Amino acid sequence: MTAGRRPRGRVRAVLALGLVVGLSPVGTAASWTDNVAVTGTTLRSGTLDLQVNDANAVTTATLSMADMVPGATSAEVFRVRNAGTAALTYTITGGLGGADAAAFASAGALRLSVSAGATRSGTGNAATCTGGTALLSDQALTAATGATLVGTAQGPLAAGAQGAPLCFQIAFSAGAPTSLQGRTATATFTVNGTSTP
Amino acid sequence: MTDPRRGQDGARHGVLDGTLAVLREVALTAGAVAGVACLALALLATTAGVRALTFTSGSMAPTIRTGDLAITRPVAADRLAVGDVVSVIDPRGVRITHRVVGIELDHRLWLKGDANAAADALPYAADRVDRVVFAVPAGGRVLARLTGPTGTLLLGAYLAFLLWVLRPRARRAGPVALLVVGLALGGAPSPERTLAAWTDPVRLDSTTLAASTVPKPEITGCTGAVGSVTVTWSAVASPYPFTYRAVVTETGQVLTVTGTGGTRSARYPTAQLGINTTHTVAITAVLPTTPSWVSAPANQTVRIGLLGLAPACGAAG
Repeated sequence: MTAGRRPRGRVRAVLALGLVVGLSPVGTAASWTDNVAVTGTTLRSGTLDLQVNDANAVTTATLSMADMVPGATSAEVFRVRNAGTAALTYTITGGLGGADAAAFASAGALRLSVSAGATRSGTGNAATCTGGTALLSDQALTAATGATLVGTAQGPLAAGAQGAPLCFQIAFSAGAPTSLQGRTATATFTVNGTSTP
Repeated sequence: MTDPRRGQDGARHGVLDGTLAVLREVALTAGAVAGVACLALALLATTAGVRALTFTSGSMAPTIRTGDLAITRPVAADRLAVGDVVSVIDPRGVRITHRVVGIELDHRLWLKGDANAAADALPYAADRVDRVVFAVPAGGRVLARLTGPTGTLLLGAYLAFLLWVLRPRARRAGPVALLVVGLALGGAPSPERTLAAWTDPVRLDSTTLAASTVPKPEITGCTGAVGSVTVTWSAVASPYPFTYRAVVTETGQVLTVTGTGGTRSARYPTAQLGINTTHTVAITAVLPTTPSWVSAPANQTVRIGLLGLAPACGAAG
């Protein structure tokens, strides 16, 4: 045994202790309690698939109103379903487009209400949402189609779960100015699914 | 310092000793490199806020896949650029690592996963965020294994091996080892899980909202009599129950509207009016619930004549 060989191995062994200690669940948990340790983590891929009315894009005319006068309302019930393998929550954004979007928006004349678990009653330009829990109440639509409407994450919906039906109600404000006569806007809404941990 | 038995043992177990020696060298060198990396990360974690993040979902694929390990360092929000991959804590307290696709004037960040069709629903507000410096493919998966039950067993065995190498021979090695162990315990970085959350937007389209134009009434008749004129018009065709207003434009006098259904009329008493003048009777349709919503006026001109006794109808339009 010579004096020169062993110490080289010992230096490396001491350095290698850093690995053991760095990865040890006891060491990390003891000194980094504010972090999430990866101990026992299962890494798994899934799919995220939010569907409304069993589709990934919905073209609807039920919410449309022709010939609307102040006080007119339309309503439609949508079914929200998680068709993927990962749990999700959702938010709702939307607003007005089209040539006269700014005119309607500046008057605050088109107003949206969204309620979960509500039903549609009435017909045509006098249809309304009845019952349920209000997620959004009489919010004026703006001329930005990406504006936040329901910003609080709804759900979570487990994989394969059907959410409470969402009733959208659009009202043409009773105080709409007469300058809006004959004007037209389109409304676009987006239900944004986000995976949950 | 020579051992008299060493030569005999070496001769008997030369091949085995050689293999074990190589394994020992590899284990020590690889362990030392990984250990230094761990200690360096620990040092950087405490001094520069560097973090190791394990990706638990795949919305940043193919740039960063599930199970990859990303090394991040904190950057002030105003120094970020579109295209940077950053890690933020969302309002639910979940760590999200996505690419910057837009920056608001107030430095709120719009993020989007590379594999997502759309950006995250809401912008994130933060003064400092963790920017991904580089990613190690499958690094997180390896770390997850090493810190799982099997990994703990392997690490335990490796620790035993290291302790055997370090078995007390010289007095000064003990304190050095304890110092290193202490340092590592205090500063070892623990990879944090990060969710590269998926998003899936569903658009609700084709809602057209067209405001009504209140139709202008059509004047169907005008009859002059002694001392008065009667203007008649047809009600507008509409699903809404309009009412009608008849006003003398020049004087502002409001006339009484009579009739229901398809035909309405208003009588304009002219007997006490002046000489040879022309007035206009304006008829408008009004929405009863919102009286400011009125139609364009339908006008009927009336020639008053001498003392208003024999008025006559003029042009209508």
